[in-house]
Amino acid sequence: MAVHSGEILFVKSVKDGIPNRDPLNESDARRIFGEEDGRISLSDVSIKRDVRDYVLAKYPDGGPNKRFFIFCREERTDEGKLLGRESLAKKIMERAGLAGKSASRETLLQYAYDMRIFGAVYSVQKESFHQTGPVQFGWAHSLHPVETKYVQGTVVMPSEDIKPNEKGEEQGRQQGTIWTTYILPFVVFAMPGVINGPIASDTKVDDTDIDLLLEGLWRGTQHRQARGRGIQQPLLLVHVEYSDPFFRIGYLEDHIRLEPGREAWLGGTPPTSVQDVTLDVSGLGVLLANAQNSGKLARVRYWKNANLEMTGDIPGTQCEEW
Amino acid sequence: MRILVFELKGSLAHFRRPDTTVTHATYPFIPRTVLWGLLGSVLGVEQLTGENWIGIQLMSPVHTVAQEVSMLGKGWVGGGGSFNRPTSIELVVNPRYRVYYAGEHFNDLKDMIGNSCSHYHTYLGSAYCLTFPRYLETIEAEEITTPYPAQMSTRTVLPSHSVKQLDPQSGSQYGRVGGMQYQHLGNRTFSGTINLLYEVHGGLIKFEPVRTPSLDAPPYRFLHISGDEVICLW
Repeated sequence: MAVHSGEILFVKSVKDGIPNRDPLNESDARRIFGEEDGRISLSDVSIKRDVRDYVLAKYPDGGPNKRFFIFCREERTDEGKLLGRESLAKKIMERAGLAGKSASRETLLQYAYDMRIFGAVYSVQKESFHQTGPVQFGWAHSLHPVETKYVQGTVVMPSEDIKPNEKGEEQGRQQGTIWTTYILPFVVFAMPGVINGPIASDTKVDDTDIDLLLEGLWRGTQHRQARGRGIQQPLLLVHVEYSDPFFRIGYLEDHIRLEPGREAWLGGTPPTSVQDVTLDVSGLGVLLANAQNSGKLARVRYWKNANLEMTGDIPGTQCEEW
Repeated sequence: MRILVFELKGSLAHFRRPDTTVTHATYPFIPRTVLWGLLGSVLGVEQLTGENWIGIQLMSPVHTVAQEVSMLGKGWVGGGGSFNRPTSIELVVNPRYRVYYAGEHFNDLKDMIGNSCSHYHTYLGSAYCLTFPRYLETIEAEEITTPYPAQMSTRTVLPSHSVKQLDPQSGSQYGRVGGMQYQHLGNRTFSGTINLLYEVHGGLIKFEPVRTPSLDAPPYRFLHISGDEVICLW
């Protein structure tokens, strides 16, 4: 069955870390809108990485019918050398049971999940194509201003090991290496996404692929745990499907609000956990209800974190978390 | 002349300047080639063809920011040491444009944009800069014939070869974009360039037009929309 055109709205939180840093600004949070605005951002690449890594972990052998390999991945030779495009594609072909056959647009779209869903620019000596993916994400932006903190610490290991001097006496450091980093107490991001039905037909994306994408957003966020990236939690995932393949509401993220408002986040005691905030989806609910009344919606599904307090209703089916 | 008026907005835009490699600089506002591509996406065609005239009005100040992102590219083809290739990109922040369109696809575009439809994705230069056209209105605008009057006022960007002299206004800030690509021929090949003048905050530009357009430069036309204000289509 053909995939419906649709939109995605994904809301996630991060605690005690920064999920996507700006190397041009001492690895502080990405500030697209400036200090005065205060919001921080998260690139689409970062979120697509979460999905890719989740699918890679779930289906290391390619999964059912070998359809879920990940092309865009870090893989090395036994000597530690990174594989390039052609070798990565060749490995997928081998693991799909097609060793010796050359990777073409059709075969790669069939076996590489991320190419099928996000698109790819593939250019090697004998094969070259540019495929726009049916799924595109925008950058995620925080729903409130964020103040990051500069913190410092030490590790127990020094930067240099002990070594004997010319008299045979052991020389070494007295203390471990000092580290510094930016950190933020708590942030809530909203990310828009679009799914284009006509392109999905072209790349042969099916409903299973879309369901895996949604699962990957949710569970890939949960699995993306590292000290610097903070504790990440998916809060709300809304998937809107349209009956008309060309229709789109657009800008769903403009219709949700986080309470408390701006002043509380800039004050001395900003919210520091999911329990401290409420997501107001009443504007989104009205928008979707209007579209539903005009016959434009095929289906609305949403997944909600049990810890999230929400005001307003989303006219659709609440699904169980994966 | 019938003009379709719609708006485009987004949190980000990136209109990559082709003459930049290590750092991907952006044009300050949507180029003609990107807008043609976006209209082609709305209609579901690979390439917008035929006679099309567009005017662009900036509805938010031009503001850009640089970000470094990890791209996958030359650095990992052939076994370099790192999986990611750090690349600096310049982004336009909170872009918003009012677009005026006249041409042979008027009815189809009005039908699609007016019904909140697009065949393919629409974005502001790069796929992660999502946007969606919002229909505003259809207007009947009267074309101004040559020789043009001595003074005009517009909020749309202007081909610099249409301006004989600017009449600088207090509080205004003018910008010029040089060498913006003019026409996409397909397969990422282009022909021609155009230089444009704009007011950085999207404010009114008062100017003395070239009385009779040159036949050697990209064509343009002026139309009355309200009061003394004109729009420039090119």
